[in-house]
Amino acid sequence: MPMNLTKTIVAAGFVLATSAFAAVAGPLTDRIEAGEPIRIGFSNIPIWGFPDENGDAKGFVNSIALGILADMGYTDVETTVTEWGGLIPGLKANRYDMITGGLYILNSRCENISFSEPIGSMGDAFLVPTGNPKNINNYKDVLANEGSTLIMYSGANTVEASRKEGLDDSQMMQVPGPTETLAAMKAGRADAAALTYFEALYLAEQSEGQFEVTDPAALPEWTKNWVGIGFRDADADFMARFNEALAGYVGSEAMLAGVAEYGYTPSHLPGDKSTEWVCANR
Amino acid sequence: MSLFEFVMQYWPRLLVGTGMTVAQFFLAAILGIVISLAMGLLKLAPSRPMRAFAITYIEIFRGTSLLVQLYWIFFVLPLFGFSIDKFTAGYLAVGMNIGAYGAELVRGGILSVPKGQWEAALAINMTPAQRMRRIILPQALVNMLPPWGNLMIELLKGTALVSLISVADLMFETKQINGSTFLSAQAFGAALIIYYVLARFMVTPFMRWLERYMARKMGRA
Repeated sequence: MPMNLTKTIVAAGFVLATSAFAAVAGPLTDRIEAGEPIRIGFSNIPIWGFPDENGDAKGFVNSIALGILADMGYTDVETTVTEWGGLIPGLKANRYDMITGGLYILNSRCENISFSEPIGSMGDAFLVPTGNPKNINNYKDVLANEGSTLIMYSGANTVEASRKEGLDDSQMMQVPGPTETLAAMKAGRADAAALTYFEALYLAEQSEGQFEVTDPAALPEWTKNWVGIGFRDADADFMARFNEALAGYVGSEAMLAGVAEYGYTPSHLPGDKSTEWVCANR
Repeated sequence: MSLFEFVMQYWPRLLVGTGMTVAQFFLAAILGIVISLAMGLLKLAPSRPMRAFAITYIEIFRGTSLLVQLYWIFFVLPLFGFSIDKFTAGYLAVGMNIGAYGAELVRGGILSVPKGQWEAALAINMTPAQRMRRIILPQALVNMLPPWGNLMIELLKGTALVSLISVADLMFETKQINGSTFLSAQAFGAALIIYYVLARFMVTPFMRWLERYMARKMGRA
């Protein structure tokens, strides 16, 4: 191909790409003004955010997010279930306007998306076979038990925590989500699973006595995390208004009544930590 | 819970999912066939840029993973301003991928038509377009139908990947049911059977019928 033709094509492609970039629909505020629904993405994670039989959004993060939006006067909401690993890519690709997850506010995530102020705070726990035969209660126990394997979700906070505690890939088994966790535990492929405390409790219940949950306090204090709702960086204006409504909603009677069925109690309220602090420290 | 009880309880969701899978299959098949014909013919075209275009297309879509292509269309294209909704993105990716494979089948089918047929068409003064349409393509079609049956089954199974971009097909519904009930054996067992039934009792018989029909048309039955 002649050189100048190549140049022309590259230049044309560049112009096309940049003009297309500029043509991306504006932030969430524009959507709402245009009368389009707010799109929420969440994943099928028990307790946190999951679809019921009819595909409606359930779980405490969804309950809080929908509650705050309703307080702001927005009820035109469209929810979509997706792969957990597809939440942040989907938000960045403008597939969703908000992601409920559930997502912990983590430094690595703050670099990619914006988080609302925290809506809850909770710790992790391990799911182990009943009686805890290998006596595994935290990451250090896994490390000390040579040949033992720990399960975690790919992309979850527990992956970072495991590495920080010195585990290497030979002892870490990353799976896509809760069903795979339970299936792998049942098949005896691992000795413990690192999960959020809520999920560990739920999976233990589902296992009909086959598994139990370790004491959350056995895990280091720094593994405690804060939950937030994800927004695109470009939607800072909407998120600011969302945070205003959030301040009045989180901790209110209406909120606690909505999330009680998921085991969320006043002890799980986020306290006085700000998202800025959590982003810097987690 | 037995497989039968499972299906009795969840059949509405499985049915809706199957409907979506069938819709994705048909749309992807139509797109795939059109692309195959276009690219297969372009690859045999006398003009060099046309051949280069077809070769580039086939190399890209046959040479990279379907899942990666699907993620590209769904998650990466919007970053450049092209946002395609998930339903369209699903059959587009699967159809474009299968089209690249089909193009080679079309090319092979055309080249397998005996040289005498080309020469005879030339001898009776047909234009290249007439020759292709009336003499070569019908015979090529008969030759390439058996591998096309294979490709269509591959396509049907390939549509399961669209569940990863939230298209509510059979695989997606199965995963959601599994996610809330943890009945993995029953959920994936049911999906396995449904995919097999679709392939064995829908795609295969149709392709067999088409083969017989075309052979009869050619006077070869």
